[in-house]
Amino acid sequence: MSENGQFDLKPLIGRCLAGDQAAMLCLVEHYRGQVFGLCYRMLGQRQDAEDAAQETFVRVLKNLHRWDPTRQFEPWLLAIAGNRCRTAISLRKRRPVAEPAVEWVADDAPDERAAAHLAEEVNLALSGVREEYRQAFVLFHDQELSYAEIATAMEVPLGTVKTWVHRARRELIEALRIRGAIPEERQPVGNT
Amino acid sequence: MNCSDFEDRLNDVLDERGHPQADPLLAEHADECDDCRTRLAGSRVLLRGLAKLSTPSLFLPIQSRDFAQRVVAQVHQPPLATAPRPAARFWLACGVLLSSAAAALLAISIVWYARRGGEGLARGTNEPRPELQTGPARRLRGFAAALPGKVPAKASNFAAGGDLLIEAPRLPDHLRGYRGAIDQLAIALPQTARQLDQVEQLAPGFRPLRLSLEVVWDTLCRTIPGAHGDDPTPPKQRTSLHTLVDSSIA
Repeated sequence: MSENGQFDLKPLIGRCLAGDQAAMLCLVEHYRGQVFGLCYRMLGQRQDAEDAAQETFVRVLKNLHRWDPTRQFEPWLLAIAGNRCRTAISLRKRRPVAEPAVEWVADDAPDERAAAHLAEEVNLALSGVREEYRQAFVLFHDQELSYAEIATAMEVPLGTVKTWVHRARRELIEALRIRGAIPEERQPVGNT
Repeated sequence: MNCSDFEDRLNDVLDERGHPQADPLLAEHADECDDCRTRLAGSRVLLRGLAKLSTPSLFLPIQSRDFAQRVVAQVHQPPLATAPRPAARFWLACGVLLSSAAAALLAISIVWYARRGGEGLARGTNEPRPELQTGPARRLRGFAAALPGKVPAKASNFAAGGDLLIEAPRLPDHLRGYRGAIDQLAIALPQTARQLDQVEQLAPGFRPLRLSLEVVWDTLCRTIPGAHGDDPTPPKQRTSLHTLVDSSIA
């Protein structure tokens, strides 16, 4: 951390490149939530996500010398995470696996239960969306990356990213509608 | 606003990370259209679900404190011993290279023979045809003749050192021209055959290429004038190709 509390990435990466293990630990600690979040959204299972996150960081630390310092670090990191997730998904297709399920903390409050149920529905809907759409959608809505950053991370044109996110939204809303997760909204009074 | 405009507007609002419910244009159209009203409600549900996914109570961070330590330990692990797969690739590459070279040599030989030998045959002269004969080892088909392990004991007497044995009183004049090609072929073929055999064990898909080369080789041997592979007459003199060519030149 710098004096103003900002995370100084470049000096940290320089230390990582020099083989400083403390710097590597710091880098992993700083980004692990973000990487794990993407992996979890992509894979839908905690253990798979943790494995993918670990592989991502190992790959990142081994290939840190290939990162271009003139470019942003996060899209590069998340691109590697996305690739690891795709590999995990393709491996998963070859072996039977249980349905992805959201791991949620038991809570007796009805509102919390409803929210957890909704989250589960969204997660299930996400698992049915094409990988590219899902990755773009998660990077935009969950990781809050800009379209330009996602385009860099996924190495596709910006317009393609937009199309993927829009299609993902449409498919997710349709999936939620089919599963009855969208409440019926009555027609406003006065309209026929 | 029609439904297509509604969807575009909805995406624009969501792209700006805004709230679609608060947009008057969207609300106005949704009041009139059932499908778009459902879509608007769906976008709200989707955003709420995503927000809930991100809450710490639901989305616990990686619990294991040693996650980063595991990663760093793995980074510093020495690389594992090389798997046998790269070796297979190496042999495959070698096999392809050698078989390509052998195929090229065969092709050159065939073309050369077609130019030189074809003229003599076309003339139809009655003069005795120079004999280029092969020993019993030639009766073996394809690369079997070049593989010491696959050659029967009787035949292997004539294939010492993997050299192709050709018996003849002398090399015909019109064959002198491609001495070099035959020399190289006689050297390269046994090596290639061995390599191909190894490669085929590692990559069974290599079999068609080996069989094709065998057919080419067999065809070449059959088309050499005087190469009566099935002639049971015992050879008068057996010599390696090098000796044969040297004596014929002398």
